[in-house]
Amino acid sequence: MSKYLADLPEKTELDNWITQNLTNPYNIELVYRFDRNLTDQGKDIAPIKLEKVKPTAEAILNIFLKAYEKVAGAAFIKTYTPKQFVLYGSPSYNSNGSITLGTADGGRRVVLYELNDLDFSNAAQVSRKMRTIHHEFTHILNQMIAIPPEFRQVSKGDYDEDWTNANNTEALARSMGFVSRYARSQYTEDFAEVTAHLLIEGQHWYDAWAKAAGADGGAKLKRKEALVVDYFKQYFNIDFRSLQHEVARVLETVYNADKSFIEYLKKGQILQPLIVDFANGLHYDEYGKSAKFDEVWNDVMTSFGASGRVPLYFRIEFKSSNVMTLQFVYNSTTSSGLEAWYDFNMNINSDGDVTLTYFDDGNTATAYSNGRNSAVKTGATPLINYFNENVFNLSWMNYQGTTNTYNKFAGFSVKDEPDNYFYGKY
Amino acid sequence: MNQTIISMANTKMKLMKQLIYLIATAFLFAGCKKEVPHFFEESPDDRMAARISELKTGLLSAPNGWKAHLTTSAKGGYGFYMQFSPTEVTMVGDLNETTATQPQSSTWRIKWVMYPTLIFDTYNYIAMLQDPTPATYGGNAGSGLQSDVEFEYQYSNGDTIVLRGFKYRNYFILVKATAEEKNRYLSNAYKDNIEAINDFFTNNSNNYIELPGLNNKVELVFDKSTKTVKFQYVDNEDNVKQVSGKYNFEDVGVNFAAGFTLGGVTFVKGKLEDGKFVLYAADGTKYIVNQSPNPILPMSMLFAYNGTYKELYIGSSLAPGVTSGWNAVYNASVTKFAAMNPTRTLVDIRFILTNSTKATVTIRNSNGTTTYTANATYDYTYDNGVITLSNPSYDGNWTARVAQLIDIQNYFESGGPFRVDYVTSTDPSVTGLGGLYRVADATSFFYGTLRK
Repeated sequence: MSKYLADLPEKTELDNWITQNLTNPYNIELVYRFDRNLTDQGKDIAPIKLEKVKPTAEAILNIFLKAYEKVAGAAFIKTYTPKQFVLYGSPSYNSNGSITLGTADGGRRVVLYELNDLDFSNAAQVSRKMRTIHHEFTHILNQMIAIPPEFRQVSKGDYDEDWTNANNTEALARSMGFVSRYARSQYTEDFAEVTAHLLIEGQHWYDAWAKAAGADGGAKLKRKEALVVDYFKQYFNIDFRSLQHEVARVLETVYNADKSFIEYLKKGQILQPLIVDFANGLHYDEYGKSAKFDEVWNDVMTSFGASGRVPLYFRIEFKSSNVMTLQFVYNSTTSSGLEAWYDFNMNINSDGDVTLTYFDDGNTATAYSNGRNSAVKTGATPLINYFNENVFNLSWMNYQGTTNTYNKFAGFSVKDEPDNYFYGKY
Repeated sequence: MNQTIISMANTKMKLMKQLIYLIATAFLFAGCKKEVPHFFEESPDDRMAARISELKTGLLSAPNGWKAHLTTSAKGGYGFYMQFSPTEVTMVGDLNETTATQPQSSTWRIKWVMYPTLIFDTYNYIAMLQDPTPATYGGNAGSGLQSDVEFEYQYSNGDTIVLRGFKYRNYFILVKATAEEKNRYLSNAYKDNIEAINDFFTNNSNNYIELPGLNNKVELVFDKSTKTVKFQYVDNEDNVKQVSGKYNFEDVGVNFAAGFTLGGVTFVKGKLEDGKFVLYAADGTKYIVNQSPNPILPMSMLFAYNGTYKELYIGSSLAPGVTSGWNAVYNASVTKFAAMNPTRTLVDIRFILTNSTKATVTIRNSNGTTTYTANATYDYTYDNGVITLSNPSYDGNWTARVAQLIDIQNYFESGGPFRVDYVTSTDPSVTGLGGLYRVADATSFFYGTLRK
């Protein structure tokens, strides 16, 4: 059968681009021309539109291959990545009414569906598709090194093959400690879903999801996260946090995904407090601080000092997308580590400018009572006034720079006054 | 919406491996012999290559491209014009206005499967029919219009190449186009033709042809939403018959998919000529489509509680141009209502087949501010187009106005049985009338507009 390949089609410009960018550097074949044998042969699946091939390949490169390459190294990517990506235009319909967006098999091939309607200028749509790739690639890694048995134990007994059942609502799946309805189908899918969501939706999203899941579900979600992070470290020597940062960076810089602090704040996904501790934060030596804010802090020290009290540091906690709490930690002449809390209404306008207004709703918790002590209140007043009187921009510090600070520090800067700011550890 | 993983990959792989070993073993033994005797003169790969080349050079040999048509399993026929280059195929199609006016390119290839198979291997207008997403072009989730993007080569004959869908087995037929045809397809003429024919069938109903040997008219039903056509008629033995076909638009007129045959006549094309729609038989005979003021099928075939029509309706006055004994009955009632103090008007009258056993006559009258609805209810039987009413009962509004309704009451109570049939007005603008003819006196019949 020497002439078996007599039907090989001629190479086009697109084929040459694929050779140069995927096949030569990564030894990956991209099959975009319809081939019934590479999918479920009994199903009707439409071919991909020609104009969607290159943007899909670029997204695979940017959000998947290069992100792993940067964090895990070239050897990893050449060893473990699937050797064949197969693209189809329509989804693959299942008899239970669900649709398949992707499959991975034999540790070798990833098949992606429903690419024809993908709008590559829409970050949410691109993210959704790339979540499928990361999901499928996680399966491939799991086919190399099995999922640790502990993972299976976390939600043992809660898995349900019939995940499309109407009873399996998103809220129910979440409260049970699943990252999606589909994650409930079996533990292998659960593992891939946790990984893909942590990478694509990001840590803030995941933390907010875990919080909304309630105590039990939240604990399970955080346990699964820890096992995923550990799996990558232990078996592949991959710093999963760096991988998360890298994927987020590409989604933000290349696909215009909004990963700004203010966006997370609006979604209620800023769950940890900012800690502003000038005395102990080594990062202030490394990244500097604002002289103008130093004056405010000096005023605070002076006014606390009038009653013999010493402010140690403060926290900013975001209770919701419209209330924040200023939390002082201070020593008095008799006690140390006392707290004084003040609430602010927070208004975020359409440009992302933030205005704050102090209010006291009579909360009787100790920290609020401390805050009402007149001497303490006097001490806190310079900072309360600072918040009341200025318009702020909130952002990650250097978020487009090094991954060192990405999502680790965030701060307030006074609008149109770039040298008047403070930031803290997130 | 979510992902799944194929978990049967392992068993599939195993099977594949076994197959590969088996084939490898076969080759091992085959390799021992230097000369494998061929059953045919040429080796299998020579014959395969020749067939692939035959199709490929065939497709590339049309300087003015191809007129193509394809039927779908879920709906009707679809027409295309396409041109092949070594790497791409460019086409327009009659799916919608965009596909008819915006040429689209995709890749194509020929692959040997069981036959040389033409594969439209990236998305194009043919793939729209195959697309399993209903939002794209209709059909059911998972199968769309039940069509293919892979077509097996059957044969060539002169200027025609015949292929067949890999899964749904529908024929995909390409015929070489002339320069003139190409120009029409790639200009607005194609879209204009589609619109003109669609408009014709929007504006003209009760379309029919007459065929030698058939006593009754043959209705032509043109269904735009499914791209299908249908003949329906009553044959000489009084049986209702239907013949279905599929059509697609061409640069001029429409093409009927093979098998649209009635009474030994196979209809192949149709087009507009001088404001008339004309069907062409395979032998070139023309059949002009005419329009009837009334539906083509007998009224008894269509008038039933669960049929096309179930109501006869008289509005504020009788339809003009009809002479019937009913007219005097109706006018007597109108006069009696008008004579009331305060005066009343007859608003409308309905005869309705409510269900399989009950019929009602509903009459509304008004004093100018309030409208009263009076109902008479009957049991009925309906045999051979004859309705027999029995066991009448009258509601309170009816008995309250029995003085005004008595003529109508008597007409239905003692005038029957009634034969159903169409009613023709001398006024040509009045169409769609149906009647209940007294079997005892065909010059007297209740009549009104046929309604659903």
